[in-house]
Amino acid sequence: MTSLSTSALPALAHRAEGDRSHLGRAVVLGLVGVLVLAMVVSLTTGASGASALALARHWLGLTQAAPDTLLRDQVVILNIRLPRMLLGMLIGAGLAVSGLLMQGLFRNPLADPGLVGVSSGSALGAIIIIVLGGGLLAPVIAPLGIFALPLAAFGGGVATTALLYRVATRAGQTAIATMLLAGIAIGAMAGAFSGVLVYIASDNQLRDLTFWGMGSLAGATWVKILAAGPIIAISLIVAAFLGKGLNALTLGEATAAHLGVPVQRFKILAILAVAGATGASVAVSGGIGFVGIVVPHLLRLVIGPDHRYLMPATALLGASFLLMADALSRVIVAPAELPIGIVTAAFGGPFFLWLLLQRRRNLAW
Amino acid sequence: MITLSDVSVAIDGTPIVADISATIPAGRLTAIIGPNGSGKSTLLKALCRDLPFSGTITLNGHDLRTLSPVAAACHRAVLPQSSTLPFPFTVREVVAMGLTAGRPGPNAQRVARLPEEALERVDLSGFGGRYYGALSGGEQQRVQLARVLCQVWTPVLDGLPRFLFLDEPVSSLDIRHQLLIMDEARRFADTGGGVLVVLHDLNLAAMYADQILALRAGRLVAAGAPIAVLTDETIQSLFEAPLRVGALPPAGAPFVLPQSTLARSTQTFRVA
Repeated sequence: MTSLSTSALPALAHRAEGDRSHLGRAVVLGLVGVLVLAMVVSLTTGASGASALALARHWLGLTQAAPDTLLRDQVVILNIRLPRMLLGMLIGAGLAVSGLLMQGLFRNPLADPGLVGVSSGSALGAIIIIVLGGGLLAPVIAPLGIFALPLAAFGGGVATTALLYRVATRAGQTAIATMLLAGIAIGAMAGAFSGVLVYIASDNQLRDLTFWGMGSLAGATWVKILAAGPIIAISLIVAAFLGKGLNALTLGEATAAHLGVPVQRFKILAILAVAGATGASVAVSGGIGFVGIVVPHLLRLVIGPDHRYLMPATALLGASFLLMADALSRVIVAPAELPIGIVTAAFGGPFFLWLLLQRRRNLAW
Repeated sequence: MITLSDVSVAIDGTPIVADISATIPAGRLTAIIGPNGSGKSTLLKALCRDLPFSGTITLNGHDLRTLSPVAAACHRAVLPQSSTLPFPFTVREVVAMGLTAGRPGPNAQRVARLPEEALERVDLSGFGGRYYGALSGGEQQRVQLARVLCQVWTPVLDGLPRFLFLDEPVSSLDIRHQLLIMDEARRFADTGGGVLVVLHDLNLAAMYADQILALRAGRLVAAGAPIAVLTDETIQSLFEAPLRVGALPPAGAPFVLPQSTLARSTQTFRVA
């Protein structure tokens, strides 16, 4: 029974059947590598021939480049590509983690901020600022400065997530159909309000709104990072502490409470994190869909649903996924570029349909 | 020890459980019996803090209302009637969720083995790598019991007893596993922990319980040892059904048999 090897090598011998934590740790480590790769790709891809490598070589004193090319490369990389890369990472991680949090909170693998109206609510908050910010609401908004847009989107996200939870969840159980339908209704309501605002918007505001709505990282600036970055970063830090509780919550709210999770406080934290990450992302990049459903699902297939490993893995892969999609959007119709929302939707839409077909076949869950 | 004094529970203004005072001691197995709708599960839910109640409940001397979720999780574990999972967790991952509140007591090596030990106790050794969703209802119920046993891995911690609350734990199990689960509960009580179990099977209550609380229409109508509670008179009025109590030959433990005027007599079974 107890063989010699188990007593001699307890750490190795006790990798119990069904324990996938080693896999989770390995995948998280691997994804750090993937993200580094994606960051390099992001810095070196673009319409101009700017070379991050050449710039790095010059800084290290290895080569002498022509001063005018160097200046151009420096501007392109420091003022365009670097903020774009950072914003892409923050938004990718934020949207993917939002999806994972909602799926855990609603005990439902199909929840996603874009699908159930949270993004629409955030967008409404942002549109209010874009359209009314210059006139009607100016006295309220002026003191908030660059933070007005992400904060308004955050507010819209909190309101819709809380409303959705209120409508779709009863006694800790969420009915899938109710959640999706409530999401459609909430999204439609937010859309209607947004429509009214678009109707009264000026021509310039309309142009802004249209491109913003398609989802893009093209306008990334250091100011945007300063405005949205802290909210997304705080949301991600909060999410990092929710993994264990989300695992318990999959057994239902009552059982989670029996296991020692302070359920009410936990749910409020999770909703704030979802609204923060989604709202701030939507505020600076518009509608980038499907990240929150594609990324957690792919990872669940590989390392299982343990949120302690799924959470960091989702943040890392979400960031990498968005950087890759962004690089693709810059290359595919170069020298022009596609809004990134089109790329993620083109990839995520079919994936979502495939997911539905899989679920139909796989009755085990 | 758990004490209840004047505990009442109302759901949406309708009183379900009224004025119950009782003691659930450590080292004993207490069974709650009663007909459907008598408030058994509601009373258990109040003890689990799933429902608000009036009156006072203390758990090892602490007021149940002021106990933090983590502290409560250290004092007692709860087995629900059934649990479904929306994600493809393995059996071991589900059992390890019993350690959510932390791991007071055992050293790290012991903790790593707790899920396996618990699975062994419910006769599911080697099931750790299976997907929870692919198991039968009875197997899922035993996995949940293993999770609960993982949470209160020792019946006594720092001199204080821990409690198991089981809500109809054997209703979906075959007879072998009914006995297996009840044996495990019995062992938990025999080694110093307290067990409170809602049971429909009166004979299991007679066999395993030290104390029976009989509920009817939300009120405690009888409490005491099985031999005192399980009498013809008490259980016939409790269930409003024709029931007969006998005594098993060796130890004299009571057993309950249903009697119906429509039951087929032994004549019917005889082959002509």
